[in-house]
Amino acid sequence: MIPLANFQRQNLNKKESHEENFRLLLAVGQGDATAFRLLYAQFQIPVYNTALGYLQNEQDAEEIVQEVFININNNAAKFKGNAAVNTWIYRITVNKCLDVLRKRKRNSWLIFFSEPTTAYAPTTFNHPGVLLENKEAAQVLFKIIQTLPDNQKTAFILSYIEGLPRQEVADIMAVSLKAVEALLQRGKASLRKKLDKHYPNRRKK
Amino acid sequence: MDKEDWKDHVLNSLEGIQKAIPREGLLVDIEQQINAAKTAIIPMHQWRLAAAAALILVAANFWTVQHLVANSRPDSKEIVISKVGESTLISNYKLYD
Repeated sequence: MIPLANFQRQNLNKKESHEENFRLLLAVGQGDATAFRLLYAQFQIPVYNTALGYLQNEQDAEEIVQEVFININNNAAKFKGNAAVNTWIYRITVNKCLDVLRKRKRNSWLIFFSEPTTAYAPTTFNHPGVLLENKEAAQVLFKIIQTLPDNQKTAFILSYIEGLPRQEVADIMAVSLKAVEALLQRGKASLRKKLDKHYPNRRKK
Repeated sequence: MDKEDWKDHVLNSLEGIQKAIPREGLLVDIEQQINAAKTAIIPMHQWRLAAAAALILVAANFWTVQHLVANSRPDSKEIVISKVGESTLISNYKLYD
């Protein structure tokens, strides 16, 4: 249990940081380059890691970071504060990543006809932040995460790779807390089922 | 390892995951792209000036063409005279009378 004083302090800090982010975004909207750099310093890692979770490719994730921050710069003046700044930034990131995945899916048949630069060839992904003893297992997990439906994938990536609280995931996905929990439950059950095919010792039995 | 244990191990393999850090020069690239986009954007007042200039040009051309057409059109008196002349010429084909 978190003591009440700590809980209140945490909430206060959260509120202060939301207000600070909002002020930064307003300044970005007015063309303040320093505010843009501060906002980038604060959100580059979450945006990059979310993109890495979806796209499983460092170059593609960097491209998403570029697109997201250009989008933030162009639309900061239009931000009305209906959602928290970090929710807004996560939403932009998630949407951009899903767009790239859809595009990859559409172009997947091109792989037989074109060069690897124009068509995406899925490879084994080694996330640089995974603990050494988990590397092999994480490779399998990243491979099957790709097969989940978009909403389960988003709930899983934001919860387990980004490590966001469930309520924040719900805010980003614009669904209820219960819906996120259900998505995670279904996602995990689906992953467990799909793992059957990848079990290394299955032929020995 | 037992199958179910292995599955648990895979599903929990992201525990303790560290955050990856993007390339250092990425911010510079982003700022360059933003600045390049800014220079490519033509401000609204320039569009208005260009539209006004185009409008003046079209109006001037229209006025000139209209004047040319009006000046080159023959007078109604001249037409009558020429018609009379034509009928005189056509009525007599006997040149050596």
